[in-house]
Amino acid sequence: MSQPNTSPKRAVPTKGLTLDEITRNLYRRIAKAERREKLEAERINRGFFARLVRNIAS
Amino acid sequence: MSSAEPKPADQPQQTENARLIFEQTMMLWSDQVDYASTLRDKRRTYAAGLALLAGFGVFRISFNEPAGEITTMVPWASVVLRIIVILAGIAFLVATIYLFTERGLFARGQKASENLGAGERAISLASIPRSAVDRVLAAETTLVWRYRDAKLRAAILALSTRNRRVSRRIDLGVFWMIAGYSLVLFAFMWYTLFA
Repeated sequence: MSQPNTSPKRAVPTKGLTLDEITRNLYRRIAKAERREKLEAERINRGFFARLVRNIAS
Repeated sequence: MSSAEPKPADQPQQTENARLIFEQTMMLWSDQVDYASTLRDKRRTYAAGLALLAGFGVFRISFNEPAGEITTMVPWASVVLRIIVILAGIAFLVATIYLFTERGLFARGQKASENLGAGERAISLASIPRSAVDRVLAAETTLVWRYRDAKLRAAILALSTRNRRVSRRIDLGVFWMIAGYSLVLFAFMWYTLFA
């Protein structure tokens, strides 16, 4: 893996961590993925075609 | 004007608060589940619109003149008619692909946020791994609520991502379906004008 995986599915390392630490790591990963998700959605929505479709089929 | 720092809640209160936060997250989750089933119904409805085509007999348009019939159509007009019908067919094909597939036919790999495999349920992201069960049992109740909250949030993120994608594909499918029906209408008009 060349880039860090921020998806919450990829198991967060849990060995020797307390539940609190695991939870914190989960929250951190989710926040990262949400940010990325938001950027992606914005990129898609910027597209001309997507705007056109939204106007026609909303 | 400096007001006194609010007194931090005591332990039972914190537990209750963590439970309330989890309840809130649960609301978001059930909303996403509702939205997913709405999208499924929507897709089904539009698929019915696509199935109407077979009733219209669009597929019975033949390229060869039926024997014994004299075409009164000007040759160039009939060529244009065929082109329109072919374009309509392509539009319907594209609409079918968008409406009946989960992700693009030529989609290579996954986007970073698409953390679900095909056919995988989003709730599976909220499952508590066997390795963590002992720690969950040993932990304070507040922490357990928070852990459950984080797990559910992961599932919500996955499901909302999938919902957004499906919604977009349905929109595109409807766009192409409308284009296809417009072309069919245009073909009828063309035929009426020139035949």
